[in-house]
Amino acid sequence: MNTTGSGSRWTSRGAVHALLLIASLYSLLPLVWLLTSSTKSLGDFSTTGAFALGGFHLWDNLGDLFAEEDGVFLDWVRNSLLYAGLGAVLGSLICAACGYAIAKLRFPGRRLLFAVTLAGVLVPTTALALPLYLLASQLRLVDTFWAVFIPLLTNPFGVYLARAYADAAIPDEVLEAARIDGAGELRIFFTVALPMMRPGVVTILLFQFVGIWNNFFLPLVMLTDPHLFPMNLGLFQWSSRVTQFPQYSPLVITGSLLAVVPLVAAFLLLQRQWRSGLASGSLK
Amino acid sequence: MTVLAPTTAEETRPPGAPAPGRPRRGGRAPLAALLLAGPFALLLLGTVLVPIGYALYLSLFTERLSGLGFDGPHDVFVWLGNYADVLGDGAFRDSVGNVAGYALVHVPLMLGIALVLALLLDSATVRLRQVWSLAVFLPYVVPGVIAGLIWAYLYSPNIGPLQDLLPWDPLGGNGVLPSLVTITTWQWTGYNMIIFYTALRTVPRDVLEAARVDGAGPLRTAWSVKVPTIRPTIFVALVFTVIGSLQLFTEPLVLRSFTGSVTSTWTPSLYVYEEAFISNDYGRAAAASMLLALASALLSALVMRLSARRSR
Amino acid sequence: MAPHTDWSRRAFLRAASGSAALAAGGATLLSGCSSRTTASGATRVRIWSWMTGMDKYVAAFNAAQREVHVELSVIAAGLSGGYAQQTNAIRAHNAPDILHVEYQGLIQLLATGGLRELTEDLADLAEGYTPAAWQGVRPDGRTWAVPMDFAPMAFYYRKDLFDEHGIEVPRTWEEFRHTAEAVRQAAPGSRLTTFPLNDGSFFAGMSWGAGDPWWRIEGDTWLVDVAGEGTLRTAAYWQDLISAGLVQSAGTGTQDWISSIHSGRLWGLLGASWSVGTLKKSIPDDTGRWAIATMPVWDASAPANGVQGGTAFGISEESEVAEAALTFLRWLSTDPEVVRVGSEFTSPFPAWLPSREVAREVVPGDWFVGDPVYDVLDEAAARVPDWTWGPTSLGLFATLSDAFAEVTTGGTTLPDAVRRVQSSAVSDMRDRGLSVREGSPA
Repeated sequence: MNTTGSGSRWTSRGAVHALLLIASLYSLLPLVWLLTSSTKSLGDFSTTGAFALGGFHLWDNLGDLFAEEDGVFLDWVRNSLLYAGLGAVLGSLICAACGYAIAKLRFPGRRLLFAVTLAGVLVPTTALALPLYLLASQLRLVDTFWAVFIPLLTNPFGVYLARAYADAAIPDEVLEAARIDGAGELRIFFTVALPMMRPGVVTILLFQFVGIWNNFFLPLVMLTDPHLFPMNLGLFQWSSRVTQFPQYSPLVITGSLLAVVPLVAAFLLLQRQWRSGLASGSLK
Repeated sequence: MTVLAPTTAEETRPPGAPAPGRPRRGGRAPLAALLLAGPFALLLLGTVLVPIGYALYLSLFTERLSGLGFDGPHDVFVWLGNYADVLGDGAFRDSVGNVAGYALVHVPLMLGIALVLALLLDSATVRLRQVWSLAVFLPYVVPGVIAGLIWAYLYSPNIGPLQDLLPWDPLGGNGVLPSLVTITTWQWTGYNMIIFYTALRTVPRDVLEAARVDGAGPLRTAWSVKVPTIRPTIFVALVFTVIGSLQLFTEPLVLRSFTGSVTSTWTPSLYVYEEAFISNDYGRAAAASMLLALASALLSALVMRLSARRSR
Repeated sequence: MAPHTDWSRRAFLRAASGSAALAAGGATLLSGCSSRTTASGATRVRIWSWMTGMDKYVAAFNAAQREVHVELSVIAAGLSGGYAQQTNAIRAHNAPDILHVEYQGLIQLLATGGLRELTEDLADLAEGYTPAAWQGVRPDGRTWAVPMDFAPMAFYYRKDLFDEHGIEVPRTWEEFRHTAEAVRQAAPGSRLTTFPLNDGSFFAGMSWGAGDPWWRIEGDTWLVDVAGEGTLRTAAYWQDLISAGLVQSAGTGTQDWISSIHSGRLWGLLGASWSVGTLKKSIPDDTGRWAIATMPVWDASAPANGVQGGTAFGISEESEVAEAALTFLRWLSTDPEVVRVGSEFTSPFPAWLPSREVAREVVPGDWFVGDPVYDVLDEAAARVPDWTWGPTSLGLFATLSDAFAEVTTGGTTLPDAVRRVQSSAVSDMRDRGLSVREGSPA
């Protein structure tokens, strides 16, 4: 196990690294393509090789991207950040509170709530889109920020995780001690429990952020006003025009790059956080 | 969505054992619980339970026009007529077939690769673990729309190199399925690999040591010790992957702009979208939605039952 | 509407939305009930459109007067979601004042009951439009939309290569096949054109040129004839060209297509009036190579030319500012300024005839060689035969491209696919409760 070169050739250091290299190339080359393509002009794009560099037009493309339709792309960036940022912060807090309550408090309906939450994990989002749309239209919420924001706050799996984190990370003695000191339940949650659940909550937050950032079906169904679009819906709309108006291709590709970069950066920077969060989540 | 797999104390606690966190007697705990669990409970009610009930209701009605149709539609109650229509619709059955074929390839392939990579990362010979795992993980953060666009361009003749390299025609009639599998496997392998890898780290070192002393090689240790230990994690990942496969939507929708080979009802989710928002047949769309929800419930139950039997 | 069932649905919705409202936490307050007038007192009119450059038209209109202030939301292009959004908004009673309608989608929107009748309002404009466009907004003799542009199909070709190899411009479909052979002979890697199997509206345009309308209105009944003689003739003709390898079958306008027309692997394009813009933008440096001609015809003694696309705008039945909306639409449809604005980024082909004269003067014509673009398009527009779209035409485009998908693999042929589409179109319309009869007029 720990000696190099022992065992069959499939476990030799060379073979193991070769396999990892292949997997990494499969994972990274499309992203490299995105990077090289966003430096190309429309002409170079269809005439130069996929990974070859043409003239360097990244700045031109970025300029065009932010100039198109009076800079609507900037709105999309802001919206994505709002939906995903606010949604993840608020959503993970709601999950943490509920997960903690299920794990550590006794209240009527606790088991039912947990069972329904588990069932909620399994409900396909595509099955909810139509009724959510019709309900939102009755509430006159269609084509508003809230039509996208509120449904995406609901993260049953986050509750499931939060409950597991609370179970694993918070000893009952600590809560008991706090209660004896006379602290109220809410105060205990915010000052004692939440800090102890922190790696777990950060993990929920990060993954809910990705979930909302990448969510497509709900904005597609709910939104009409381009000023409310998240980035991926806006880019999809532009990509659907490529057939008639090829000049959108560089915009779509450069915009895609910008939609990917923040997430890559976030995951790189917060590596320690989410790795340990995943570890404590799956520990027990 | 997410596939983290905590095995919690709840399932393993013997019946009758005291639950943790028994609160002090008194009225405060229910109030606190209401405040803490309430927001989520409301969200769950308003954005999941009520919509499902409403979809169920909608699925029993249909809209009819009359004459030339210029006077607009009116509602008619049709019992289970919409369900019969959907199940009798060749387009729906084709979409189910497509997704079944897709899942049969994607699920074992993706989870298999993820497991192998996780085992490789976990083996002692590997250098630069963090670099490899990050590299393979990165596609997970790419939104589905953008993943679809990147690969669609890569598949396009004269633009991407893949048309010449792949053994199938990536945008041709029979090539769409492997092309989609390639996209979604790209997106999800790294994520599941991390999950598996994280679970593998928890395999007790003394167990591994014992296996080594018994003369088990790395392959044998991996297969007979490590994999069985993380089996629950694998089954949870399996459930989520199967459900995710059933919902396949964004990637084929994006590919549609690049090839005529992806029909407008290529997957059940596309079928729901097409019926609801293009054809505006709400009843039929709601019925298809309910069937989709039912199918994922049944499949998850099946996988879970399988997992329970295996781990016994 | 059947009142009792409608009531029960409303009641359910009210109950359901009550609990959802709790979750929404008073969000309704924040959703913004915009007022009907702007701060400066102009009437506010909301328009949804996916027309490229609509922002510029709106800006020009808003700058030119103070009575009406138009607010534009750019929505996804028609079948990519624009129609869906509009239809859903009509159902949800939050439609904008002005809806984007193409001639081909008008009847389908009409079937939602969401369009306002404009017969009286537009009566004075009747004489000014290309007859086929005016016909297009009056399917049942009542006027339902305001025409904007018109899109007769046209044949674009590489005049330099045609001249170099002594190839004549085909005038009939018979000649067109010879031309396709000649191109392949001159350059074995090249083809005359592509027949985009993924575009149902293209095939509809080709069938339009063959002269058998897919729908007709007979009293209170739809007459459906998707597999009529002209359409089957068209399908068989193209099946032959595809089978013989004389044309490509990939989509038009894709990156692949652009690189093909740029590098000379495609020598022609069967497009519409708006392809002028597509070509100029896709291959801006290829000046002086391309020319335009009217579509080849089946019968030289009775030339006919199909149509693909074309935009009109309707006013929502529930709009509270229909007058103001109409003011804008009349301007958009008939004011010469619109053409001047449009000529800066596209090559407008207005449905309003006087505007077309303006376009002829202001649109730069130096990119093409050969016959003047507007002469050819005028001729094409004059050749357009009668046609009526149906209440399921948009869905039918998707059904068509789905049915055609198997043609490349040899799984079906175009005529077979068309026959299947006919029967599914008929059953689909019957399922919706419409009164339908199959076949051509008795």
